[in-house]
Amino acid sequence: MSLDLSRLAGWQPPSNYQAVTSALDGITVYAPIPESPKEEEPTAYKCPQCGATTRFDIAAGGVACEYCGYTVPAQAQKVGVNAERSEFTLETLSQADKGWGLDRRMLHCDTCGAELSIPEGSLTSICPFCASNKVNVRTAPAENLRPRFLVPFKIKSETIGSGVQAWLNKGWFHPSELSTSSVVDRLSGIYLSFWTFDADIASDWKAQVGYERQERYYDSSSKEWKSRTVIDWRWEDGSVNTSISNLLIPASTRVSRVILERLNPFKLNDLVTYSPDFLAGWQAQTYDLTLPAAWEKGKASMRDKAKDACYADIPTSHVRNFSMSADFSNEAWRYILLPVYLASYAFQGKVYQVMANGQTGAIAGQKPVAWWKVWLAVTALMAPGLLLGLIGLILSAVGIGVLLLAVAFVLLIIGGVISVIIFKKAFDSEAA
Amino acid sequence: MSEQDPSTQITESVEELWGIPLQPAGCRKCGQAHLVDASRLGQVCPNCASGKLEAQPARLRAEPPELLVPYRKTQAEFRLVLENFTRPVWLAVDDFTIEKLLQRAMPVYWPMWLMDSNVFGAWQAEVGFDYRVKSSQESYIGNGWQTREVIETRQRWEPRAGQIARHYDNIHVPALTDHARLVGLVGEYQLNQAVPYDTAKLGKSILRIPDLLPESAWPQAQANLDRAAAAECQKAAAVKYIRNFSVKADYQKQHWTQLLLPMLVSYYTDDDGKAHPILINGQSGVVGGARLASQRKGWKWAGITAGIAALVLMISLLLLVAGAFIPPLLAVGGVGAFIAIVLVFAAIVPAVWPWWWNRKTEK
Repeated sequence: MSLDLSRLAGWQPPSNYQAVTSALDGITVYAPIPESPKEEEPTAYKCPQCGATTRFDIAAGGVACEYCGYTVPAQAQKVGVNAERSEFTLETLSQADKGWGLDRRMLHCDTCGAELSIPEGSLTSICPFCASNKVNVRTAPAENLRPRFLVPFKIKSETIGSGVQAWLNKGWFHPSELSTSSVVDRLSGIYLSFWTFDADIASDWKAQVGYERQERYYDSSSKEWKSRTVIDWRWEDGSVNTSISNLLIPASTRVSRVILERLNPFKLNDLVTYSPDFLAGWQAQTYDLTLPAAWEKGKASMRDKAKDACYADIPTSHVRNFSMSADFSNEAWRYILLPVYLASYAFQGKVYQVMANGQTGAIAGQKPVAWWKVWLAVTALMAPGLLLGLIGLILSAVGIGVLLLAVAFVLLIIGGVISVIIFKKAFDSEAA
Repeated sequence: MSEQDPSTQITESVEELWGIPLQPAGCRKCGQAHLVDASRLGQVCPNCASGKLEAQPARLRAEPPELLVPYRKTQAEFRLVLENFTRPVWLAVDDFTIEKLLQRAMPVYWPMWLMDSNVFGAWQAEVGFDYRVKSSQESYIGNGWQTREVIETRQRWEPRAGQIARHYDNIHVPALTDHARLVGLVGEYQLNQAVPYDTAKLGKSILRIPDLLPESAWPQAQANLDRAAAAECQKAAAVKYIRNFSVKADYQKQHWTQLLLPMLVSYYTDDDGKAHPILINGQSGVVGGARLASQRKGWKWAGITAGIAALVLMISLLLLVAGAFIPPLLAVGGVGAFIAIVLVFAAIVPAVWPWWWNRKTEK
């Protein structure tokens, strides 16, 4: 039975609470005010001292004005690998499937009044009319699908530039024009989206495992006792628990995954909470590979790791009829931004990408191949063997011919192996 | 505790207070007080079955009981219940029979407090919601993986706070210090079957008087009130779970009455003449109490068996001696000796059984 609530004067709910509907008279209910997925207004970065455009400065570790030296430290907290993770709730998965959508394509520049068109997937913009920096995190389908953590740039673009130049100059089978190209000038820092995944996997495996055993037998043809190795097969099973943390899956399909793999590892100990300050003057991309799609890739990778762990549990290398189950638990994910320097360039009508890890300075990319150099090298490698073989054939009537043929065969084998290695390196160099 | 109603008074005349012709009586042995018909004075105490009921003043509240749970079992059903209760006892004491237990049975109503109170205050708790996450179980057979999606339900907890201004009726609170013991013996009652108190329903029953006064029962009453408030706050917040509930409240306009619970009390005496009460839940028929075996009977049967064994052994020995002259008697003597040995061992059973059974019962 309800009574008069007005007799309870003087009570105040906690400061961040709001009244919610009560299903019973005589009882009031207050709940914490939910953090509404706020549509973040674009932030323009302008120096309060001289009015010039400011940007995140790596050396200063904050937003700095390159004209008057004004610096403000970036407002962020270092969280490292303990950065908060999210679960695979049905609600989030359904929202994540929708992606970022195409809303908010237009951005108004408060500095010069221009209406800017933001490239799809971009989180930042530089006004082409007044060069002001803007950071604009558009409305995400769910709060946790906004970037919440990032690793800031650590390596300056000048350092990366000289590193990339040295990398371009490296290798003899690339076009010589590459060393004088303007690729370095096109390098720009960009925050790329990544998903990180964690899971515990309880695996049960079953297989026929073979154990080698020496056996004595009588060889009737040679009429003597010999030894041979036989394998005894028996069914075995086992359980392996695997825990995988911070598995990185690129969330952008616009950059080469192969090259990104070569940029690893990123040190997630440097993760900080997201702040638009870090993005000022830098480019940033949202994800275009949705969470469910990325998780499928992550899960495939984790399954293989679990399978490897099961194989490692088997004491011998002889295994057949292998089967296993992998029960996933404590699955979690994060959406983060990682720093990368990226340059795309065209050479003889084909587009190539070069990337550098903005945290460690590791460089990877595609380089065009001067195939005539490769063929010349292959010819030079095979020629001694072929010539010697030819001479050996001519002199085969004489006893020395056989010896020359044998040497030619060895030279051909060596030349062939080196040629295959050169070809592979050349193909890898162009591959993305 | 605020606005405590101190309306208890010491009385010798229940009729004046409650309008029923019962008399306060107490037992010097167990110290418990009852309201009994005058004809029961001098009879065995239904609580301890050792002392006698003697007229004495008792502390009673002015309000008569509010509700009672009626007896649901008939005499025939009580007999059946006691048959099942006494049957498993081998070598039971002579006094432990259905007839004697039924003959000594006394209908007793024992009390619980029914408390009404207003609750004005502020509450806070954690409330739980279910949410679902997608997990998977993968299996690798041959050369490929097969995925089975698993949807798991987990709980998310959020804080809530608020105010409460509610009235609660008939919160059940123990009124006896041995409430838990009694419930342990005869089980829980279905309190929702209680009906309004009516003197006509009492018959010749004995009413046990609360020995936990409201002042002493208050901590338990407050806990039960808070539990009721937690359930209502959970309902108000429309949530599936609630935990860590706490309320800072004023408990006003408390009103205490009694709920009477039916029980049949009987007793038997053991070998040493010590009385043991047997209690039967008047609603469900659950029986409680120690059912002891007779050690005296055990010794008697052990002695008889051992005596027979000795006799058989002597005859067997004679036959064995005679067997020296008439060989076929050797076999008969041997069998007899074997039987005698078996009987000696069998004599141990009745000697040990009562000890083992009584030890198990006491545990």
